[in-house]
Amino acid sequence: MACSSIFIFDSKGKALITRNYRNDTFLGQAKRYISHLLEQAEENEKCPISEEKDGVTFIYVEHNSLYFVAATRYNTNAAIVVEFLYSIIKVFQDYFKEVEEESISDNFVLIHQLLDEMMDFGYPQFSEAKVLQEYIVSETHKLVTSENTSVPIAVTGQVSWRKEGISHKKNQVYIDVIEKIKMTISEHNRVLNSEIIGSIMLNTELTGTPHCHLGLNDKIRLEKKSSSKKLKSSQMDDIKFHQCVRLSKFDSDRSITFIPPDGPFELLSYRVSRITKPLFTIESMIERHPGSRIEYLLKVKSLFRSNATATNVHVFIPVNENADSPKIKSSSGKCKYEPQSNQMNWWFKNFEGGKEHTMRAHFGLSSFDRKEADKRPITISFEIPYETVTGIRVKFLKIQEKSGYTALPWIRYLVIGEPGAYEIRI
Amino acid sequence: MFSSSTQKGELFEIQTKLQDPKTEKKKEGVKKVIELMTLGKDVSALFTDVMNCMHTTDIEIKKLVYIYLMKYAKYKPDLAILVVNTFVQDTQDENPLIRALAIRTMGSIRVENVIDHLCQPLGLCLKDHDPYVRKTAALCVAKLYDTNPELAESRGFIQNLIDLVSDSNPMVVSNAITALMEINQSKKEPVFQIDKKTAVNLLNALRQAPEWGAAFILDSLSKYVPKNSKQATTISERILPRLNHNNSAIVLSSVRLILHLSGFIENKANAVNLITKVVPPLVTLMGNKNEIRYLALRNINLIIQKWPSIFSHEIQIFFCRYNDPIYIKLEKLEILVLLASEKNINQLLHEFQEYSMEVDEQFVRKSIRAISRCAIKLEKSAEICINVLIDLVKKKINFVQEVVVVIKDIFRKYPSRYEKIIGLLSQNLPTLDEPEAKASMIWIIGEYSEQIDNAHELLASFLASFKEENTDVQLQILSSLVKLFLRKPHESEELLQQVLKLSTESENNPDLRDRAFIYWRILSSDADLSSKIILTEKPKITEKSFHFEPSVLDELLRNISFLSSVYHKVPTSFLNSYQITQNHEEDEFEDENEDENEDENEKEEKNPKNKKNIIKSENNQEKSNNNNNNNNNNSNNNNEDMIVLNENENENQNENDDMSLFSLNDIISNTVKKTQTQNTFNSQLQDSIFETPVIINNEPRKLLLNSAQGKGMEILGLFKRKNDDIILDLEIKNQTNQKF
Repeated sequence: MACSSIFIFDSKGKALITRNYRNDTFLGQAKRYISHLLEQAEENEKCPISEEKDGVTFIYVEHNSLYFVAATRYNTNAAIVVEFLYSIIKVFQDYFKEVEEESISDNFVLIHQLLDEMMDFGYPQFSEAKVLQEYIVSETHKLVTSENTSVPIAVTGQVSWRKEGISHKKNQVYIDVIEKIKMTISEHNRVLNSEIIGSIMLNTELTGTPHCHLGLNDKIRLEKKSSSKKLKSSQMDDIKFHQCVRLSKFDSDRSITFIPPDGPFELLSYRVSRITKPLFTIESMIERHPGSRIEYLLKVKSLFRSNATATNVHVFIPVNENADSPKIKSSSGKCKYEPQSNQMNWWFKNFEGGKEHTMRAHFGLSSFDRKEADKRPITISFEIPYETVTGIRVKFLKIQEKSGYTALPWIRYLVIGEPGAYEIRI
Repeated sequence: MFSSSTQKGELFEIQTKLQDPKTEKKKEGVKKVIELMTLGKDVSALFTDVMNCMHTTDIEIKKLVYIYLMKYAKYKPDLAILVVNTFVQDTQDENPLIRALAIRTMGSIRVENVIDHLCQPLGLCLKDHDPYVRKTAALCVAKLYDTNPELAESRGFIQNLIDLVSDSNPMVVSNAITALMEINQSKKEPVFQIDKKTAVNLLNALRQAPEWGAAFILDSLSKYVPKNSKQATTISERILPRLNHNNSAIVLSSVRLILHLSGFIENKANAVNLITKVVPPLVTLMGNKNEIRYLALRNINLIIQKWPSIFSHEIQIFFCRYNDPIYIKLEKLEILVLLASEKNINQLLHEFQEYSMEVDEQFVRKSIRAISRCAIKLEKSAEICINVLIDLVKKKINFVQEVVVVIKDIFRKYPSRYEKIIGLLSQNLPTLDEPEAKASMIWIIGEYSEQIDNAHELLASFLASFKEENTDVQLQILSSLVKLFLRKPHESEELLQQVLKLSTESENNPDLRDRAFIYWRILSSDADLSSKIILTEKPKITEKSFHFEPSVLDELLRNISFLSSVYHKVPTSFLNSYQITQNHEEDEFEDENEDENEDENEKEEKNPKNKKNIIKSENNQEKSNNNNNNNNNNSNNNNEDMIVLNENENENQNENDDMSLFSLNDIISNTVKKTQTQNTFNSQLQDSIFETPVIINNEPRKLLLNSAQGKGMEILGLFKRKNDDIILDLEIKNQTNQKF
């Protein structure tokens, strides 16, 4: 079943946009919901899907302090609603770069048109920004005169993500292979869980209707049996494709073929959840002398191969709330105490593989401090260029187009540990 | 609304622009109107002027006027008829965009006059040569059906939709089948059943359908019942590749469909093989946006209850990360308890222990509870679970009180096995200040009073502050002293008299008073008999009490990814019958609710004196705030059409006795372990707050009193579990025409 209305609220709970598709939920109800949500948000994030008064369900997504809220009275497919709210944000981003209060209220006319086109009677219809831009134009870059606007074939066609007649002077494709690693390591340096989410991002500048075939090294073989014990190293637990990839073709012979959308998009993403070796480990000694002082001795080690170098490595070490008079010494890198977030930030511009660095810190503790040990983990954020954890490599990208041009692919690899994703308990 | 002069001026200015012959000026005017409308201002006064702008070739103005009409036409039904002509013209425009726009807008205007003229152009649009128009018209049939089902049926639009299901364009197919499914829902007899031919059509359309279309086709396909095992296999093979789609809605819908189909596959090994294929994609969703992760976790919970082993290798992905939002952490905990086994318990306990030291109160409490639930679930590992709990007490973590509460549950499960820890617990006695923890501790003391030498001293200390205690605690002091008296009459006779006196004379709480009277009666009749009744063996608790009944579970699994699966409630139980009348202004709408509440409160206040013991003892199980509403009934207006009542719900005194006894047994009969009525009655009375957890029940409320018997009053009721509280959910309806 469908959703009933879509609302957009600003950070203070003011309604910026209201679009009622079924006339059975009202702004008043949504306003009550949002004020409740904002109250609660100060303490804890509210559950994104909740049933409120009179049997109305609200689903919200936050973006840049804006709240995109859907309301429904039915047993709606919640995943469709959540994905649709995100696709609204994505389309808005394509239309006016920054999605924020100002751009929403400046473009309400456009937004009304978009919401009208993207959803009908509460059922999502179409959300490809590139194609929408063909026939719904904003004032700022109006190229098409409105008289001859017509429905692009793509809207109901099979290749809904690509408009017709694209042309580029130079045909090229940028391929980024990015692996984001999440890991939890116990205080004894044992890996409790680890997950690698890899994605292959393409940015295509190709003329016409190119048929592409991407070849990867054999690491991509997806095991047909899913019992994780039988997985050989570097095999993927799961893989997800952009809608342009022919899924049945992949299912039959594992080849990745597609007609790409124009511009940047994520072609595929994959997941490896088996326990992998840690990239960094930490040995820490923290001596707490309640009421007087606290001492830290930290050693951080990099365990990846020595000819690779991690950049922008930040080690965040939690410090008791009312610690004072810091004294910090580190063997390399810079280490600073950040009192506003109660942590030390130990920063390395470059961190080579197979190296280790140490740091000592000393803080005074006020005599009133009787708090329990801080349970926040140490977290590390980093980037390792030219590397992948799984060993995946792009072998080729074949591009066929009837005009017969050749295009060069540019390939980059990167491993990222996002802030908070790589945690070590203490 | 337009009293202030500035607003008047503003409107006038807009009006001038709207009447300007130049397109650009007109456009400015219409935009301004839409802007004010967006801000929530009433611009209905400009209706005629805006309508006049409709005759234009400028598609942008047209769109904006249409947006205006969708909102305001219902307030000016007489004027709205004037635009019908333009609409009908537009549906024959040569530009398909305009044809679709016109039919889409026309369908959204819920004004009878307009609807009457909708049929003819709709019939044309359904057969339009452009797929964009056809897909829009398909949904328009559902719109028409929503406002005027008879009209939609008599004009044969249903058949048109059925024809469109085999359209060549996947988008049209998707919207047509979606419209049909929606119409089905509102009918007792479905207008359309998916047969084999349709299923094949849908599968073909699925291959080429854009993402939303694909999701809706998958949802419709899950309504199809395959004829045989072979067919189920064929369809599932076609669906499997969809698990690799990067839109989580498509993944979840495919998961639902595959699990549904697996039930029809005869070869068990093949079926199991098929089921395990949904595991990796579901695990991948754990790396998705938080909203999707939450949704997936709720569904994984259900899937594990049905197929407990398929996630057993994936336990680590459910470990909580420090940065997970609280709603995710709580779901993960639930799943970890479901997955707990003798094999992984050590690893799990380590995690739970870690979580118990975090800051968030709710999370810490749930983690502590998780430890005790594992102890109750895994008999062999109970010992190590308890050691972890003892460890937590020794570490004096923030929420020691929660430990006391959960240890009581463990005592219920394994009586006379772990008394040695009572000593440790009673050391913490002075620090207990939460009613539930206190009550639990007092229960433990009462239950093990034989082994505790100074039990009477401990209880006496509680008795000293009896009057200030919460009802739960008072009731527990009473029960525990009675138990103590039966075991060690000499030490406690005086205390017992004290408590009976306090409860019956100086307390206003009817629950407490009546319970004290009952004890008094029992005790003064026959000592042996009272021991038999009061010290009876209590029904054991099991971890299974958190599971669903098979039929409910199957229904929930058929709703994977739908709200029903998020709420863990079958659709009929939360899609409430609250009927809204159309064309309500927002504010009227809110007011009405409040009125209703007052009615119901009055209803309660009028008969505060009907007290029924049995109901009372049940009611104590609700540990929610509703407990104390007896005396201040006006505090429970947070439930609109459903009030959680305590005991005074009976209007007709003469029918009360039979009715309440019978009906309560009726509603708990399938949830609570059946014992002889007498025993159940007494043990519930005695241990009210520690009673067997009622199995989560998602059935709709049962009819307890029909309106004929109740002289116009109808009562529906059901025991529910909400979080960890058991709630008696009663719905009272006034079926007469008069107000109470």
